[in-house]
Amino acid sequence: MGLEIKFIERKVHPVMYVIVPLAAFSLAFLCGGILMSWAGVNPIAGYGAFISGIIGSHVKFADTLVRTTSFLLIAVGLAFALRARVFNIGAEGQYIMGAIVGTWVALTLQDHLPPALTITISLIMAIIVGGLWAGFAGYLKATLGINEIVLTVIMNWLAFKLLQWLLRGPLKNPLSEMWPMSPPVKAKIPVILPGTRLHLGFILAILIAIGGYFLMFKTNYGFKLRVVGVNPNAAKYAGYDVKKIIISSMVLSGGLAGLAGAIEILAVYHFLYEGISIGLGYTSIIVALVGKLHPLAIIPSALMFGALYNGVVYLQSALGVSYTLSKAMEGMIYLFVLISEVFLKYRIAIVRR
Amino acid sequence: MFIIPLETLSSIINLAIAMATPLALAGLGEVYSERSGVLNLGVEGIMLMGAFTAFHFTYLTGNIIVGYITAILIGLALGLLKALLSISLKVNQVIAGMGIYFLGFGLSDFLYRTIYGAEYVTVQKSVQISVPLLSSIPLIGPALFKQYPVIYLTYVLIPLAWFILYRTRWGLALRAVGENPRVADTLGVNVFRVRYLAVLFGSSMAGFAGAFLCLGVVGLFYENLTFGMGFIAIGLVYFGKWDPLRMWAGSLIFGSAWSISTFLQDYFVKAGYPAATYFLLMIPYIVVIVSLVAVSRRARAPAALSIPYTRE
Amino acid sequence: MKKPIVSMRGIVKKFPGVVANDHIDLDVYEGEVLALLGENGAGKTTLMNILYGLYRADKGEIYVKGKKVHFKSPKDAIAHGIGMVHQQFMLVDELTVVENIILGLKEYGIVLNLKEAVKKIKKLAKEIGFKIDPWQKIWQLSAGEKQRVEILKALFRNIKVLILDEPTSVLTPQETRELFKTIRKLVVNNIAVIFISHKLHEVMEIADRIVVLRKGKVVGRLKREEANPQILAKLMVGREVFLEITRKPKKPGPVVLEVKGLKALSDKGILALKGISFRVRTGEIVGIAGVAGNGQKELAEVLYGLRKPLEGRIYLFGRDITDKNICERIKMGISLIPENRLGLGIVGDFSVAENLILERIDENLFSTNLPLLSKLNIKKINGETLLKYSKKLIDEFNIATPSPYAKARTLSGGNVQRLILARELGRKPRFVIAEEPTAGLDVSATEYVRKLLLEMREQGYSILLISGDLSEVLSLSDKVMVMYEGEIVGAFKPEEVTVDDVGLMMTGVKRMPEEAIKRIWD
Repeated sequence: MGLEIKFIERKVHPVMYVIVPLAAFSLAFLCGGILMSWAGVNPIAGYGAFISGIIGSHVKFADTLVRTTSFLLIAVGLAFALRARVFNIGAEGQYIMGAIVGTWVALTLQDHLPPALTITISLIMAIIVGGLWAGFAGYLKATLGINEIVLTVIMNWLAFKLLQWLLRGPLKNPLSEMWPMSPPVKAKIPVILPGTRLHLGFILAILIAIGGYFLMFKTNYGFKLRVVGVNPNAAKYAGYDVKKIIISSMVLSGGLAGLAGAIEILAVYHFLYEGISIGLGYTSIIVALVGKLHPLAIIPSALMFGALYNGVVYLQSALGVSYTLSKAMEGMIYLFVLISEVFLKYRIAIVRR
Repeated sequence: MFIIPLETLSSIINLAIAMATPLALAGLGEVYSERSGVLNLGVEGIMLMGAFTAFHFTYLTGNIIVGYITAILIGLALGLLKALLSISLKVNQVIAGMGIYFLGFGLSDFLYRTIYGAEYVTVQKSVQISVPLLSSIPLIGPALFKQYPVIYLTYVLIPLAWFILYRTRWGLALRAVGENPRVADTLGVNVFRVRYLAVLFGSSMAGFAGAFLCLGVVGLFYENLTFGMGFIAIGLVYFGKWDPLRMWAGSLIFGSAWSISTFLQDYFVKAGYPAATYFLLMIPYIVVIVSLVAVSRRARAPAALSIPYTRE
Repeated sequence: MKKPIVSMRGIVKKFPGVVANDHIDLDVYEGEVLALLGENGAGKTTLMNILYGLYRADKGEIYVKGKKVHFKSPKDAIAHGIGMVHQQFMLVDELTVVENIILGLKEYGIVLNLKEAVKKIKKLAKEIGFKIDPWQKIWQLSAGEKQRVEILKALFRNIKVLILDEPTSVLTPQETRELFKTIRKLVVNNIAVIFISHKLHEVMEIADRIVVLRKGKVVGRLKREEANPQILAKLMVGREVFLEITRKPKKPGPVVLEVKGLKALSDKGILALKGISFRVRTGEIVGIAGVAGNGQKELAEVLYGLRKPLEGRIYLFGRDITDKNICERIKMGISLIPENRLGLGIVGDFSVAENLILERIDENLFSTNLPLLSKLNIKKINGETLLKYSKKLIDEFNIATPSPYAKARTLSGGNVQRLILARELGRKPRFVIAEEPTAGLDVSATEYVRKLLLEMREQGYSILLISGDLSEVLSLSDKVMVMYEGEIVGAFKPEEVTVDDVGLMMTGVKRMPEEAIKRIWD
């Protein structure tokens, strides 16, 4: 072999940890601008519309925060699974299951119980079912060694198919023949900023992020989980029950994703339909990784992606650029951040061998 | 009343093969990639980009071959990116693969919406061609030999790939690299080159598979056209224990599950239970999960799978 | 005067903290068996890895057939006719014998002409005198058969010098005999065989010439006629200078650990422990002498719980712990100072303080109860106790670190060991397994650890000391047992036996009678 790439570990100045990710984002947004101009839109106007969509009015800002809520909840859960080195790609399916269960329970209870109780029970059931949906995969991984990546992804599609069937069958709204959707859910999570869609769920998400931080870094459970992810041999040597940790991390992750799904129904959409599955579960993986799997850092990360999604929606209505620009961009952000991480950790030298 | 007329059975098998083929093609590529030790989770994204480029360029030029070629090229490009990330930069293979997935998914969707907007655009679908003589064999004839051209290609490609994997010097080197790259390196095999080539082959197959799904089976493009097929293909690689023929069999099982549930849908709709069709659509996915669990005990991945190789 | 086929001159190879090869000269002649004798860490494998192109020497030259060569990888070494069979076979388990042998060769076509290759394999095998089924997969083969595949692999590439690294460590006596027959046939065909070993009787049987290495240097070159086990053992193990350590004689207390008939498999599926029985008492250090790789690692793992035994029972304070998991054993007072410090002993990315309570994190001392969550065993980490405790240990054990919050991987080798000792001993375990506690440490750290072990003994701890440093074992231990090929071949008080005899036991030449061994534990 002639040339070879050598990796030399290096220490960088702490400020680089902020500069390099920012550079990655900027590069991604630059690419976004290129895509915008290719789509026939003046990028400056595009950026303007984008920013106005995010914080242009208090309604729009509220919407940004609403979008942030789901990302935040799911990503905090993913932080636990990923830190234990369990690759939970199934957040989308767990989210769908949570939405299904939340809707079903709410519909069943809403005429018999006061709304606060209905909502609480719905959310709890959503957490449990989401947790079980994920825990199943975690159990198979811990005991049979089945690859959790393939399993969780396929369970995503299974959940979606389940959703499609339920919407046309047991959960069908008899009044709606054209679009498959559930009857309306009357129990609603209260709005905290009148005139907007910003709801209590956002506060809950923030609280959960803080709680997640506490759980991960201030409790013995989080401690053991992090050891398992970083050095499973040392974890065994120290006597930790590694199987239990793997399974519980999945249950936690699935539970939070399920919670996010139920909240979306009870606070934003108020009925169940196929369109609730827009890939939040997948994007949340990016959110979690960009947030370095740290629940508090995930808050700004979720905000960033919430802003991205919201801004792009406005971009579409204002300038006609497809809202799917956000999807293209999130892929780019992800890859640029990944590559920048490599350069943060290593100095790359091309060496003659 | 379950006496199934022979023609219907033929049709079921015919559809099963058609549905299985994109999976089998993507799966074949992934078999080669994983056999060299590189897991490529981005297959789904590459299939989507392949489908889109095939659609777009076929629409522009009216020539299906151009569509397929561009799909393969985009597959190569994305594969090169994945290879750079995972092999040379040693980024975690799962994380890098997801990146390719997100990129492919998002980009294909965005490009389609921007270019075609909300129009309903179709391309000339592939036409099924009958093989003279062979297609007259009762039952099997119309099932196997009245198919899209790409499927005939598959009949040849997969056994050929099997042969290359097990009976040629290249296949031997590939398998050695995926099992024990250190030993292969010691004996003079260029581990990096083998892995790059395997990943590029895998990604070009994924692009090709996506193109076939769009041009051959569906005839149009929409968001998330592949709908998890890329990931199912990866699952099939596990199920097939990294053997091309077994993977193909797995794809046929999935294709059959899909096909059967499609036919059952018709039946249920006629019988007055239209909703049940969606329930049936869950069956193929359940089949995959069950088979994964069933195979788990005995499945042995290539020993060096997803471990980046460094020369001391 | 025959010229050597391979010459190594002035080879120096350093690794962090140790000089593996210290200016070594070596000549190898065609058609001879050259034995490289030495303990683990003597530098034999390193030297041969350099010859084989796996390592690059820091200084020195290699000459093949009189010409200077630079090997960038084994591929170059093979091209010059040098082949090596490692202790860990360089074979691809999932492939067949034929495939492994022709891997990387271009002579058998793009479409593999396996029939041709098989013909050649059968022919060569017959010449060398063994049978092999070329179509079997490697994982199906026994160790002896795998070795033969490696030899065939070398012969296929026209090897003139074949290096065998501890080849008999994985063989049965019968297979060893077969191997020796093979070696003689190779030699008849003018191939030079370099035989690395620590087993004296084998070396005496097969070698034409013997080179003894100790601590990276050549300490003896003999022809077989000139050698005998006593001379070799002394060269290998050294004229021991007993350390300036005064071990006060003590009367040992009641039995703390009892092991009966322990049998266990190694990672490769071979029997690594073949029926080990012994006892350790309060206030006693029992040392295990022996060349590494004779079952010591597996014994430590079985005792601690990292490996399940096939047979046998372990009793700690009279209670049967054979089926208990690690967590339970830790609670009962067992502790392990692992040999693999960085991989197993610490979590590099975590702070020193966190490492110091690694297995104690669940204790009420360090995690305070939370309402409700405690039912799930989720408790709040008590930062103050943690800090106080870690500061105390850092002080007590003199761990050099700028702060308890510094990451553990920033510690130097000696301080990593101090951290592990602090953590393990800080919880006052009653039975400690110390695996190579001073390996790789500098003089002052080594002294510190040895003093510490003796102090623990004073305070009534029980210690099982596994060490490749014979003088260490002999000076620190109250009782010593020698392990060879998974068995205890000798057990005695260090005062009662000569170093030479110990060396002979370690290399499998001498064996104490069963009753004498049993009596020691009473």
